[in-house]
Amino acid sequence: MEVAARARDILTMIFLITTVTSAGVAGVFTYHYVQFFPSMKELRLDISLLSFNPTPLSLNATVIFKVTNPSSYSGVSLTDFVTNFTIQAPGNVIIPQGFVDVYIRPKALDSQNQITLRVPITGSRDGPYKIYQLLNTYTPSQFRFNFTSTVFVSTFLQSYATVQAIYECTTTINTGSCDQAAVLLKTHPGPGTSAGGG
Amino acid sequence: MILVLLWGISIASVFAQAVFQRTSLAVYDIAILFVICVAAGALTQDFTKAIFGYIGAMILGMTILFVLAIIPVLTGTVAPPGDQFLIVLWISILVQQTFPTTMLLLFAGSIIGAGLAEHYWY
Repeated sequence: MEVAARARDILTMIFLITTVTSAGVAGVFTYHYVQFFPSMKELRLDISLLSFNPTPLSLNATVIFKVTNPSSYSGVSLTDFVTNFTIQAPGNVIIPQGFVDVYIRPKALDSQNQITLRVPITGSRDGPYKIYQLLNTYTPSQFRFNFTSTVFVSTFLQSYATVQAIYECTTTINTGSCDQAAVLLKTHPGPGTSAGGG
Repeated sequence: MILVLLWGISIASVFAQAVFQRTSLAVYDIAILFVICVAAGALTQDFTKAIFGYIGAMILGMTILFVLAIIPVLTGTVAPPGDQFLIVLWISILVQQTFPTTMLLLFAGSIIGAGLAEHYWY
């Protein structure tokens, strides 16, 4: 009986130590998880360059986007980048140009990492021709490109949901800026798709 | 009571480190949970106490885990309507990770633990 009592005591101690240890480990991972949503709000998109030399058939433009994770959170990666854009000509003439989907091999977007995306833009429909005609009157620097860009991020929730950060960017060949419009947590496409804003 | 409290914290902890990393339990996570339940079941030294202890520990553990999972909602980091979506998402994840295999396996572990204690300690 004494041996049994001693075994119980030892098991109780081991159980207690295991509980404290596992709670400590879980605390670290919980802290990391709590940092996740604020870090998604900190994700930044910038336009570092817009070059623009249209012909009647193509806008012949290149935009360089930079996606940055300035937070201390690691464990996410960039999986896709889609942008919709319009061109705003002088006189407030808006020329919609549709979507550009940039194929990306998933890249880690760890803490302080920056990913550069070079996006060639040819334009669509009669947009390039209209711009080309307008260039007889105006200079390229008078045209404004307005982008609505979606950054798709793979996270630890990937099995259940995707994270999408949406940005509104506006740029001329001289200067540009982007603002984060929303961070969406979405279930994977299919029946019962639902979404939430963060 | 203290045993159920520690048992529940252990279950919540193992689940938390798993689901906050990859939203699912790996085989070794389930193995650790199983060993915890065998040990806790043995410490109860009684089948009835092991069964009710396990039920109490699971309820406590899942409650702790759920509260941890919705900290971003409780602190306002995730604003409406995303907060409702996150709550539903975590309920879905936790239900899928718990029912039925893991829950039954851990229940079996608790019973085995109680059985081993009755066999060797009496």
